[in-house]
Amino acid sequence: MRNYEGLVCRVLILCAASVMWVCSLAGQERQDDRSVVQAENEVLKVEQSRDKALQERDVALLDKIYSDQLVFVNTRGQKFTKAQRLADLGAGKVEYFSYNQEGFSYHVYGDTVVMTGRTSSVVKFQGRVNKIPRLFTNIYVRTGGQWRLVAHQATPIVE
Amino acid sequence: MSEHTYMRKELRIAALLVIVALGMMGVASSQEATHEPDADIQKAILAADNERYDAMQKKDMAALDRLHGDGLVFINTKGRMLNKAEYLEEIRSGALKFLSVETDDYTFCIYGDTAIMSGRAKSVVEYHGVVNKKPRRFTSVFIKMHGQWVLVAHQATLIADESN
Repeated sequence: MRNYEGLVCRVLILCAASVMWVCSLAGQERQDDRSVVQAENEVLKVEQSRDKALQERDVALLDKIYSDQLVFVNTRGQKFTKAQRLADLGAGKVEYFSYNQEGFSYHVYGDTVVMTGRTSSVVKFQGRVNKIPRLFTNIYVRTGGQWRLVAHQATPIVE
Repeated sequence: MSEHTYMRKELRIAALLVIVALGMMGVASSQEATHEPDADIQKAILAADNERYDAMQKKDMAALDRLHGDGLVFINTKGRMLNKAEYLEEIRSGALKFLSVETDDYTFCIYGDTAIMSGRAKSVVEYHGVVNKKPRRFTSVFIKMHGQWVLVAHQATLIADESN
């Protein structure tokens, strides 16, 4: 009986120590360079999926990538929610004629990534074709292990 | 030490470790993003932003240095991207002047130590000698670092006149 109690104690100690070790590793991971590079790579992968989904009007995939709290500001300074943006895409009100993004830069803050870049995609929205090169900021936040776009804003480059 | 006393001691250590481990799990899970808008955080963000505008108008470079993250990415309405040094230099040199500050229509999204504030600005700004009164939409990202909310990203876009 005493041997059994001793075994239980040792198993508990081992489990608790393992949990503490894993938690401390998770904390360290937020800080080190490797996790920064990993976050950048993961966000780039999600961004590439988003690009493809936009061109193919894959609303189901965009629904997974966009956070429910998405705030989307386009080059005309119009603000949209996730529901509005997905409805416009689903209804064919947003049409991409060409897609080109480049010059990405990333700033990683734990579970938040600020991604900036330049796009010269040709897109039609509300009857207007936009060809003007523009800078954009995409904010990705990791929730439940998944990177989601929580904010997007684009600004035309006028000079 | 008797075997019984030794067992009790071992059991206490096990119980203590389990409590500590559960606590650590709680802390780890609390670092996951939350979507709950927090009134206190919103107030703190607005206070930090007001302090930022105040420092800009007074050219208080020490305060501006403290209120902006070293990795700041600032995209202005002309589609010009500036880093922290470039942005602060525009304020210090007088290339960027806020003649008045007026912002409204805020939306906040809070994810742990990250706050995203979007809004509308009607501030009157003089930029390289040209006065801009046009309304614009902005998105600002604040991160809490060492107890202080600092601006790490900002982008502004002119609100187009839809009659054009």
